[in-house]
Amino acid sequence: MTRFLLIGLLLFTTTNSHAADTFPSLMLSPRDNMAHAPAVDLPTLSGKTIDSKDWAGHVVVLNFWATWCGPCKEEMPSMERLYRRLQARPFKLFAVTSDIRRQDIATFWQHLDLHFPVLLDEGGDLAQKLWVRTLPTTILIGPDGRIHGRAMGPRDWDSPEAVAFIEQLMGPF
Amino acid sequence: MTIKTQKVSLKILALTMLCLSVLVPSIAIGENLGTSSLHLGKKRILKHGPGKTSGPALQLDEQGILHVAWTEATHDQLHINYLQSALSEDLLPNPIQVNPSHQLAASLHEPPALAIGPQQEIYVLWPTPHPQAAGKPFASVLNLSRSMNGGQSFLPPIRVNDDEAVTGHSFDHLTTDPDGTVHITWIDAREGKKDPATYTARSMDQGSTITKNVKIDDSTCVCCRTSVATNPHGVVYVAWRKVYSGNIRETVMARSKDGGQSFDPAVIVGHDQWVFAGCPHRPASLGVDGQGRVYVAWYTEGADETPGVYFSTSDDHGATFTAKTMLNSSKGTFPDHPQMAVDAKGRILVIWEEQSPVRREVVMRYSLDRGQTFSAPQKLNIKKAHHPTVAINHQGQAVLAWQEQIAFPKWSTVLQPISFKDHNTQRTTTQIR
Repeated sequence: MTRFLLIGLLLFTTTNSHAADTFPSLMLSPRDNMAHAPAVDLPTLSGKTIDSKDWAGHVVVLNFWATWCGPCKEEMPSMERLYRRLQARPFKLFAVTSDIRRQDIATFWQHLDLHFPVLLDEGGDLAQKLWVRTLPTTILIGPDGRIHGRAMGPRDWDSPEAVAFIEQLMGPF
Repeated sequence: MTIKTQKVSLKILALTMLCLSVLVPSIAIGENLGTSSLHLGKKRILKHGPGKTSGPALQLDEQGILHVAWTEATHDQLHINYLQSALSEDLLPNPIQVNPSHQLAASLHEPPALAIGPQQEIYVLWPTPHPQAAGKPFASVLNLSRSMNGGQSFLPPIRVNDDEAVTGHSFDHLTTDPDGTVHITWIDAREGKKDPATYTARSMDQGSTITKNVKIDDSTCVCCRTSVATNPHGVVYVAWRKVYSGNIRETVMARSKDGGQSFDPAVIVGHDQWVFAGCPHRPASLGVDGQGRVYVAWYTEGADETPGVYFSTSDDHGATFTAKTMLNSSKGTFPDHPQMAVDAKGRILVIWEEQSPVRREVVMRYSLDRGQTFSAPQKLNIKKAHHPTVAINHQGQAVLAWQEQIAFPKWSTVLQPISFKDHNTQRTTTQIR
């Protein structure tokens, strides 16, 4: 509990960005830069359980979306390309949704030919802990477990700048 | 964690709790504001089945009958439920199902739209998955169903949108005017543009047929629900969020002086200059009083991306609006999902959420003097709560509703009656402008 409160305070008191400043076209919000990401323990659409304890040393991208969100659909193809490009690296990409109808999500995924995993945040608790208030919102977590960027609205996630930002977070390859 | 770190954390925890405790200062219920006072009645709890539910849709008719509708997931199917109850009754009856089993609701993220006509006819509006969708996302058809026997049963729905496009017809709302005409609004993607359009249609025969669909405007923000209201003389007002060049999202309102056949160009309400390319998913809320003043409450983040709940009025049928005023005053939380109800005397109830990473509250402010002053924000929930809404009639009665996690992890709908008492004592409250 204390950890979440600390996150909350940090979200509203941290104003300085660092890496995001060098990637202006990504328009990453500096508001929560370097706050610790909350623990995640959620099921996936395919029935696995994802525990953020397994994320150590990885760059993690959490993309919050919903089946009814048109702009979310716009950026999904670039998310898929990013996933395919970096999946062999210390990189994890998850779509996170509070939609509850798994068949609809599966149909959506199939329709757009997407393959990255979907986390089911059915109660919306993870979205709340991360102050996700609009969709799509994408949170970029570094190997240190801290939040290094927040993108509100769709982006071109396999653009050279987005890839460079993520690779910079990964550190030397 | 070391002892030193724990002490620091506890200090921060204490400070945080102190901050949270002042977010929603309470007021004395019954405090005199203008020439009326407000009294909260006994809460009633609507327990749901095991499936997830949408927030509640709420209406309160002139006989003091409460009408509630919501969407509920049952075995991965989404059904529309409805019940009604006199405010004076303690027990709530079992709900009835509105939709036929082959006309399911399309989603849970917002409740069905609900309206009561002057002859006590009950209307429920919801998008159902398009029969030819074949997996295409967002494809829906808009359904209108009605009850002509006081809510004992609902007739099979009729289709509102008059096109065949396999695309989105949703984010809908409806109201009835004093003559009984049903006014329906929604976001419609039939033209296949990146930004869809705001559409309207009417039913002038108590929901038997729907008029030709009319496009009000293009470039509608894709997932902020529309809102429609009428004044005592049948002027129709529609509000939605419009996308301007540069992805600027503005809450706008258009009026119809011919009973909804045509609309004047949209007028920007608050000039928020909020630049955002995604889904705010937050509608404006409209109200009109007996003198024709139009009230708008809405969420925006403005040019500085700071979430806020705002309020404005118009005394010239929406041609111009007063400077917006911020209703939320909390620090360390962000306000969300405002809903408003206004009665003929201009008594206003506004209810919204206040969110932080660990809390989710529902708060209310009210005005008894047509929006000149508002009460201090008052927290309404005890446990974690969301999806607030409010309804009011012209008899000095109102009901607030929200979902609350009373018995974790299940959510219940809480119904909070409110009554206004007229008297002559005056006392000033928070001056907001």
